[in-house]
Amino acid sequence: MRLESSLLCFLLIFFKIREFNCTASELLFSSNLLDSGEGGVPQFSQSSEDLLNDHGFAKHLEESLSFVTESTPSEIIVSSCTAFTNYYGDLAANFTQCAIRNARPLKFCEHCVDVYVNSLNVYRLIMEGSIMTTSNDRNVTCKKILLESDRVQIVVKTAHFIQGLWDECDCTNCFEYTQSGNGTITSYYPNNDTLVFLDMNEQAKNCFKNFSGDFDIYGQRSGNNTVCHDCEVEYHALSLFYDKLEEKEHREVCMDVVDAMNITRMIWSQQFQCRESYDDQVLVLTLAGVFCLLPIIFYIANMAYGARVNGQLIRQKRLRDIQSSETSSPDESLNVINT
Amino acid sequence: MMDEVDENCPLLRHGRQGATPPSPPPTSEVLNAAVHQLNAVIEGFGARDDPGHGDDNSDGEFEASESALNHQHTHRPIHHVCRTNYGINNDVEDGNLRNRFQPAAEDVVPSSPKITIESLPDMNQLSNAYESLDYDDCENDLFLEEERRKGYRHILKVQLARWVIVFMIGVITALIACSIDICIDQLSAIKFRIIKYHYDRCMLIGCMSVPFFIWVSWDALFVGFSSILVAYGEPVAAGSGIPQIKCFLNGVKIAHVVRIKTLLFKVIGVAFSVVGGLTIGKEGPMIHSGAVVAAGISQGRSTSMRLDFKATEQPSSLRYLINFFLSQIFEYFRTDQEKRDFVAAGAAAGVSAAFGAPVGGVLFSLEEGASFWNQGQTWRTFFASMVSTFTLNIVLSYYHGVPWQLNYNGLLNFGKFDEISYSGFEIPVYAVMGVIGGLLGAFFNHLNYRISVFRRRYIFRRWSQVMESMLVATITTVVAFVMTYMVVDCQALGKDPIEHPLQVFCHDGQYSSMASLWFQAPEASVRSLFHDPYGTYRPLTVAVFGFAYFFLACWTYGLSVPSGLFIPSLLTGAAWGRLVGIVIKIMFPTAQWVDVGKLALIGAAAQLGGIVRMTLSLAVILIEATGNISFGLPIMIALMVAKWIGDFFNEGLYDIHIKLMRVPLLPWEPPPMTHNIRAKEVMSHPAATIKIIERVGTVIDLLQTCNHDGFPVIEEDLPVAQREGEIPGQGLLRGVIARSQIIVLLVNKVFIGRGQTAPHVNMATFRDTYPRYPAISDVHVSVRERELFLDMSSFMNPAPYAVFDNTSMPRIFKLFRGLGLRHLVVVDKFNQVIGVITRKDLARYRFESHKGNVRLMEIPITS
Repeated sequence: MRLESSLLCFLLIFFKIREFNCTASELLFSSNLLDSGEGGVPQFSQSSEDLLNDHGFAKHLEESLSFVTESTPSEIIVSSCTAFTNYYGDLAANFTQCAIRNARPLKFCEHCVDVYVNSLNVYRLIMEGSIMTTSNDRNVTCKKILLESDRVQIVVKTAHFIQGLWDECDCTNCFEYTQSGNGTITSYYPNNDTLVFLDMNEQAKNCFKNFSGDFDIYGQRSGNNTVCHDCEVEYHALSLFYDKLEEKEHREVCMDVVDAMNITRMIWSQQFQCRESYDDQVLVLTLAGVFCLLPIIFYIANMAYGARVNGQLIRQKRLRDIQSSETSSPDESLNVINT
Repeated sequence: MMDEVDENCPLLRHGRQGATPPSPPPTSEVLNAAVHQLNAVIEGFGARDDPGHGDDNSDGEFEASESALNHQHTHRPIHHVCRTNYGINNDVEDGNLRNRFQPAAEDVVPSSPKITIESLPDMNQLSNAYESLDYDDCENDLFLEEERRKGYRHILKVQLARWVIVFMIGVITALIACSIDICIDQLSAIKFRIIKYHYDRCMLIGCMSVPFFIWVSWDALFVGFSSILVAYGEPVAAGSGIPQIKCFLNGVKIAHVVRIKTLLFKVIGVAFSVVGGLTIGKEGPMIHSGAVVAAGISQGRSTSMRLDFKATEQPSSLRYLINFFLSQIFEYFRTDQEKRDFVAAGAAAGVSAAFGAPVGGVLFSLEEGASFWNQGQTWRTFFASMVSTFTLNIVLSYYHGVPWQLNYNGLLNFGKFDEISYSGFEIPVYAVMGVIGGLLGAFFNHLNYRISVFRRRYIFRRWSQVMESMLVATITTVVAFVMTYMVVDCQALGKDPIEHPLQVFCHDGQYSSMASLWFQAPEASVRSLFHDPYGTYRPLTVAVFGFAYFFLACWTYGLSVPSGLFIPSLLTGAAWGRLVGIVIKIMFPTAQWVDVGKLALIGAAAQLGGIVRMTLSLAVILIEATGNISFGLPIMIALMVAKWIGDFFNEGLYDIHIKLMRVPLLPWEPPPMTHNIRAKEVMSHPAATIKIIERVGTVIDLLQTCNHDGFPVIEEDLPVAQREGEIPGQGLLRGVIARSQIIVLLVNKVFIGRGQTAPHVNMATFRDTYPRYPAISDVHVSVRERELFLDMSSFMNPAPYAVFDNTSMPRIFKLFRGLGLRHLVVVDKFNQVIGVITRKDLARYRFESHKGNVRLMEIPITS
């Protein structure tokens, strides 16, 4: 059914009937990232460039709460498969760049979610087999061209890389998605826990900021101990919230949150030296020593208590000597072979 | 009930020296008087040699302590007749607690020069407490009658039933394994959460003794509970159970080993002791569980639970429906041979459930267990393994929240090794690691042997066994605690998938990797050492951990708790293997081939191979449990080398424990250099025989005084000319009858004489009593009935295996081992019985090799 509709859609695009609302391409071109360029190659709009440099994550994502798209069918596509793959290539490049730029400190999930979702949707469209193209006057799906033409299958491998990176960071656990019927992600937004965490983390950091200009996690102790007192409430609330989150998510919290927490904890613990641990070594070691004495006493006591009486040797019935058994009583033909 | 060799029967011989004439039958008074006289003679004989042991005190004391094992003894009314204290000088007063055997001069056998004379070391004894299993069909008249009635439909039904039963074995074994897994997982989570809470709290306010106490007492209590179950409930449930199953499959009946009570206590016990933090694994007990399940299901009943799925007449019951399909099928499997085959399948199912390794399971059964094997049996065993793995994976996929995703990585026991690459030049490294594994394994076995001997001697009271287990648990926890306390190795949180990260003295955002090794189930620690990236553990951490684990594991194995050996061995090996990797990496920082996880796997394999000395099945198990087949060769090399090196010093730990149990296990091959030992030297002589038509009173007296399990049935001897110097024959061999058969005949009063005809019995009557038939003391026969007669001719095995008196030892051995015999009659050239060979007669010849020295010895039999 959908295949037919997309086939129809493709033909309609091909004949440049602009007014037609096409189900397959609507999702793709809806994100208004695609601008029909002159050379027939889709190009990125400025908004996707912005997206990469945008650090106001929460703000941006709140905008994308209303991430609903309008249909703007593409005008000039020489071959729709090429157009799709070109677009996907750009998305993959952007994703890689975004991932590396946000590697340390790790803010991968929040900054790369846009390009990830776009790439996922495009890839899904390609792989659904709804994108048609002509080859030798025959209509074939784009999927077929990509999958059956060579053994490397670069597009598929790239998609696996993107997905692998995303899954490795458990980024999915930071967001909530709504999906359309065919599995395309139509809107996504950070889930409540993530927002609360980021907010609390920001509070803690703001508190720290009053005491130290920059957060160099490798820096030495600042010597300012008032921070420990002043920011204690924020820090402990954050830490507690994180622990609960971890338990809730079965230790699969998305990496951004994990990393943010780790950095905050290190600042607290290493830079400000706020963590105080008490060490009652003497008591512990004494107890350990006492425990270690117990088995020695036990074994000595058991040895003193006496050993198990060993089993008795059983007399075996053996034919010892044919000559003597012939003449002697039966008892003497029994003997112990000791060995 | 003892086999032929060990006891000292009153000589009810019917040979030409036996003075009992066939008619008229002697009255019971006469016979009792004769027995009495004989007792006096025997006791006098014993007293003459060893005046200190005229009475039976030491014997009685020993029996009390070992009554759990051979409780049958207590039924024997005049057991001291069959047992003579003889030649033992128990010199406790001298401070030398070791029993020394001092043969009286006149009893020393002129033995062949190559057989060395030994004192009684703990490994070189055979116990007389073990019975043999009988794998030979008794083709008597009843059997043949039944065979005629069966028809082809019955054969088909039985074959189908075998597959159904094997399927059920697989499913139930896997379900038990799952419940152990899940139980341990949940209980450990609770334990670690509680302790972690107090740990984190106390690091800040300084009360470290609180988590310390909680941890220690939790462990001691859990292990104590497990130990109470074992020590007071079912002592045979202790340990891994693999030695016991090996003995069972070899043909030795170990009391209680396949009972449902054993299964229950083993399963609960192992869950509690693993949660109690002992350095043990749950795999061995799972294998034992599989064997018990197999034995139970195939029999279709449990005598302990008084449950029996054989044909009933109540059409309304559910049982009737079951029986509609399985009527008389279970009954058909109530023989030692069928049971053995199912137990082999069950053990394989246990291995595959424990490691998720179906092929490894079959090979394990083949390599370690089964002494008797054929193709059809292999298929069924493989089917059981397959079903077991499949069931386990389905259940665990639900547990892990990925239903029916059967390739889920979490289902692999030791985690998936994605891409291990190795090239040829690394193979010497693996071989060297094999050498280390072999040496450490041999050392482990020797140490454990010493500890086990000590335990046997001094820690035999039940309460002290429980206390010892609790103490070991305590010390294990103390070591763990002190090590996490002293060795600070901090890693960033979130770097590794740690279940319960402990911070200890690390900064916020970090965890102590030393603590994490202790703070999870041992199996999870193996996974961590295999898969955590380089840098997670500092060299000191793994070195200290491996060192401590080695000794703790060695100390722990042999406690009276259910405990597997695989995981602690793997963990020790993984620790030193990883250490090797780290050291190489430090020495050659640019070497690309060094992968600490890979070397940890090799170390684990080498260590395990060095301890248990299995090669084939272990290699396959490790390959399957890590999901990596391309790395098979290095694993095989490490295992092979480890076995070669280890075998130079001692045997595998399972074999050591089998020998410490004094089990008469028959090895694969007859001992070398025994061709000049003849049947007449091997056999027990004279044999206790029964006439083909025997007076009931005589039979009862024989059974009461003599606890053999099989008796040659003879016909009155014919006047055969016997030359000077020949062994006196005891009558013409007509058949062999088992003690259990005689008892069934007595219970059913199948007597003839005085115009009485015997009531009809069939095979079902005999099968009903399998495997526990009443003791002779429970058989009540009136004085009048004693004078009646028993006709054995249609109940005995009319065509028993027999050998001539000059048959060589290897021939006897092969016959015995290959056919799974229990009694082998020795006849002279006139077909007259002159003796009987049983398992112990053969097992007492033992060939030993140690550090390149080989020797043949004959070992004594003790009570």
